[in-house]
Amino acid sequence: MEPAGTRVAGFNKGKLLNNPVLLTLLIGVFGGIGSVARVFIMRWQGVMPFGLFLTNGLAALLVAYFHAGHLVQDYLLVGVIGLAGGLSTFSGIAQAGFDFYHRGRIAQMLLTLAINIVFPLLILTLVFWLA
Amino acid sequence: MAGYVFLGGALGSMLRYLLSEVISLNAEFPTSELIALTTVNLLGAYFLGLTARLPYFQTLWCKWLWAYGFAGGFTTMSAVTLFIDIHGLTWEIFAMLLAGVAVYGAGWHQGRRVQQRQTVE
Repeated sequence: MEPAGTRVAGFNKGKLLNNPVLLTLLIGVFGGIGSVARVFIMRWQGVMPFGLFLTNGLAALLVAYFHAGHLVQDYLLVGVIGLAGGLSTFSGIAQAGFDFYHRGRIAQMLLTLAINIVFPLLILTLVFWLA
Repeated sequence: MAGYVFLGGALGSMLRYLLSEVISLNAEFPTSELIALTTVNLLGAYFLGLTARLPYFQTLWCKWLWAYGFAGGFTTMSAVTLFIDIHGLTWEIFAMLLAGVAVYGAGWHQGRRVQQRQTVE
């Protein structure tokens, strides 16, 4: 019997990740790698949460780099949603902001929020401009 | 330690991807992206607030798995940055940031209330 549909030889050529379960699992693996890297980077704490800025900046750099390159759609998903998504964090921003607010340091809280918007955006624009 | 963080981050990333896929089925592109980002980020911030004070999460491995791994991997800032780059810096982004802090505070206070109730008993 002749193979039909997706079982035809060569049908999946160039689309290695068209299995949605495999794609989700791969996103999970890369998200885990990004999370471990984030925890190690976020140990850099000073007057401001510098590690937090650095992780979000690095994630923006990765996103811009992946988007500027010529990646297939599925690998782009794995890189952007998995690796960069696991590396960047919003809850860490909320935590740092609330900690500053709780200690009565409103200016530092607003500065943390502002830098977390501006710094990754700057890196993203720079990489898009260079690429 | 890295194993717990890896597991939590993997769980969070997969859940975030599936959630954003489900939401993108129900709305048009820019709106769906915004709804998905807001949902994911606010849920994650609230959850991290809970883990900060709730007695159940005070063991070390629970912190690694749920706070550093899951809550951090579940939320994302890179997608927000990309969204700003495409659609401009709108008031929704500022609202999301401030709401994130407020929601983290809500979770933190809720956890602390449970903690105080347990120490009184």
